[in-house]
Amino acid sequence: MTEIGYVSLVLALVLAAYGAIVSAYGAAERKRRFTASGENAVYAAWALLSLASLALIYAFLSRDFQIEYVYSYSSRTLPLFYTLSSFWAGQKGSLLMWAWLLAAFSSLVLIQNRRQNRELIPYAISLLMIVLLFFMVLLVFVSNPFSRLPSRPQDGQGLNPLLQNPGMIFHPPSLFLGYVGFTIPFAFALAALLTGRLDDSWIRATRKWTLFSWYTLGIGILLGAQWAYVELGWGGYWAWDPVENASLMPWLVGTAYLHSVMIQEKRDMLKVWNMVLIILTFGLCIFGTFLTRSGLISSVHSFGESTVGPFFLGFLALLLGASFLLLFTRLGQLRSPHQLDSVLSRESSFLLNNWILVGAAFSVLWGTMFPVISEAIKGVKISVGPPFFNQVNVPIGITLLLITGICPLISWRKASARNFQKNFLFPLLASGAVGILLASVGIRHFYGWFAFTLCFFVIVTIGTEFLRGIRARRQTTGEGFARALFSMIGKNRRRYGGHIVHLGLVLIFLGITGSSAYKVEKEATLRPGQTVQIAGYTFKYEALEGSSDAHKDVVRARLSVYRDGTQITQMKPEKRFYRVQEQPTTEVAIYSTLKEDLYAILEGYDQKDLATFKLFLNPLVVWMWIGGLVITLGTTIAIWPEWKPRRKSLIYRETSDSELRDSKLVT
Amino acid sequence: MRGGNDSFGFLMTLFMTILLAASAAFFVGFPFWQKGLEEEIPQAPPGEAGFSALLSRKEEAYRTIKELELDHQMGKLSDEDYRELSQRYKAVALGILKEIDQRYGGVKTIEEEIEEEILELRRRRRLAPKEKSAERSSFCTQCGAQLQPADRFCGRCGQRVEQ
Repeated sequence: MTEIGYVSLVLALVLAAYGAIVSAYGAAERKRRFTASGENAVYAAWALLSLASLALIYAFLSRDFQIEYVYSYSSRTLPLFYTLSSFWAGQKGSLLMWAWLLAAFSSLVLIQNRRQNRELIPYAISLLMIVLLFFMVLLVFVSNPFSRLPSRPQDGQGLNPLLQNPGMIFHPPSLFLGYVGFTIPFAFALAALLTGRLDDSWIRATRKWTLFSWYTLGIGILLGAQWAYVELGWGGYWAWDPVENASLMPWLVGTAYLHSVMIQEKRDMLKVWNMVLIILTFGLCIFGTFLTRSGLISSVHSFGESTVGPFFLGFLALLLGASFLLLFTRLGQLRSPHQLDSVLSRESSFLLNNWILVGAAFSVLWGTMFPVISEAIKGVKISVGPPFFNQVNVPIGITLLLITGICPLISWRKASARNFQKNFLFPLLASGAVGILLASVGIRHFYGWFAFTLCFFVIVTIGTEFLRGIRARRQTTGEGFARALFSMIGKNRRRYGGHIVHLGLVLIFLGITGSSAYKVEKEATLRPGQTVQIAGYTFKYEALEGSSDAHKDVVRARLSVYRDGTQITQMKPEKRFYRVQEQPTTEVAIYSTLKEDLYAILEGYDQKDLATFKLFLNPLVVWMWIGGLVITLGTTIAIWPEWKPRRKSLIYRETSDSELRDSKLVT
Repeated sequence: MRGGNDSFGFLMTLFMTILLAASAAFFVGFPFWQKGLEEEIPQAPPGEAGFSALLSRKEEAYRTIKELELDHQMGKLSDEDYRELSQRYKAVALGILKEIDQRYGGVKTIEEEIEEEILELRRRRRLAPKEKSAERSSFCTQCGAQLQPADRFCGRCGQRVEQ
């Protein structure tokens, strides 16, 4: 069965190469049979990669430890759940997952575009197959997941205990969906450059792919943060670790792209800029995949030293070089006939948001790469820690938050200064009042105070946007409040879905601000029965307990938590010893409320049950996860397929056309 | 025992490899002898927006006009700005409409298209016109006006026609 896996990989490699060539040839010579054959190659590659993936899953389930990958990432005692997720625990499996997703997405693109974008498709397919070819070369020649050990070991090495967390099931696949998903708009952008069809059809064709990839990448990052928070046990969720940064950079540039394409759709402007952004986004996706695997940078998640680094770097250089060269040759055709109507318009606020997002991505890139660059130039590895990133990115984040609040108040094209003032007055006064209130209840930390006030400002502007829309709708249609709300969202999905996504981001900001500016931390060594106080909570150390099961020994401390004399909960932080890995891991205990999280770590203990605890009070953390859910809701609304009859009702179409003709403009 | 297993396994792998390779080759090669597939990809005139591109540009202009209207209603655009901008975008939409008419117009008359749509709807509901008219009264229950077989509302008073 596993031999079939490798055979399928080899065949998929051949098909990817074949598909790339015949699609490009067929498109250039306008030969239908060739492009059709190229399309079939995509489907066949998908089928073969599915077969290869099934073979790897089979190897895991049948505990075939002669396969080196299965040996390295699973063991007989590993539960089924994590055995399946071991598929993407290491480099080889995750590369296979990349390839499978890419083939699957390419096939979906073909199915989606059977009748549209026929000019772009063959070129886009050719490019997608070139990317697939790169991954197939890695899988077949450099990083074969089916490679075998000389003999068959009795048991595997098991999965790293840190990866035995529900986060493991969702975080990596979600990131991969984002990384791979951005390949689609990238391929279409290059196809548009190659064909010279530089109108916005490539953007329309890939709008939902962009949104989907942006969402999955963002949620992947958030899930990773949550995983770090509950599993890594250092009290936080984000450490500006190089691999975290690697996923954040494409997300930032992707966010810029997501906004600026709207201007091209509406105004036929920023064509070159959009091309640059999507090329950079995809380049950063590949770069992120490279950073994780190169061994260049040490990090909690990197796969250690590996041989694929140079390949990624070469591929990346080739991709970026070719893309920008192509873009350069088309510059003349990409000039926009339009201009901004006004400085005070939503377009210009989008532009500002673009510069800031790209600037943020660049600062993260700089901070991530600085140790490497400094080592290359001066021979000394200067590490760049969270202080640098925070210093740069906190003001950037706050500015973005401000724009998020201002943007909905400004109309597209042209905002009138007077209406602008009128629209601003209420949110400004309301958030000013809240700011004073916050300061008077003792919120002192400047950034914290400012960010909270801004969060409130944005919530108010989004809220008024909804209320005004509902009011306008009720005036024209006479609908009730709830009905007006739903039909308003239904008829302007992208607009209101976007507002809801912004609301989710504000909630995440709220969580970040609360937990970084107002975190309380305390370390205490206690005997059973002793207590420690932290921010109004009393922790009483009750006892130390031990237990063990088939693959681990657990030592658990019992802490009773009191507030104002009454017990509110019991927390049980643990230390675990997994036998296969022979290393202790920390299992934190978290008690979450909407206001704050209590977070307890069992640092160590001795024979006499003397235990050392690290306790945190992390305000508002839960709002980050709630924000993720709100973003999910907003994205779903924006991405939901519009109900489209096969053919738009003729009567509707003719009326709106003739209405226009009847208007006084007809000369 | 072990050796026998190995050679059997090898043969099986070989067989599966050939089978997979052959089916992939067949599937990929199929378009080359498939009948009814056109040889040439029809050439779209270079530098000219196609019909669907024109339609989507038209839709975009309509959407813009609607959005301007909404922004105006919500008080984000002043009256003068609204008038100016919406006139500009109406002119844009009109230009696109004219282009559509000039290049693709005259293919079918409106009446022909409407007739086709009605026939299509009938076909979908699998109702022949005769059966349908026989099924229900042909006068409005409210005002007594005569109804057409396909009517869902009375043409005179707007009363819903009971099915």
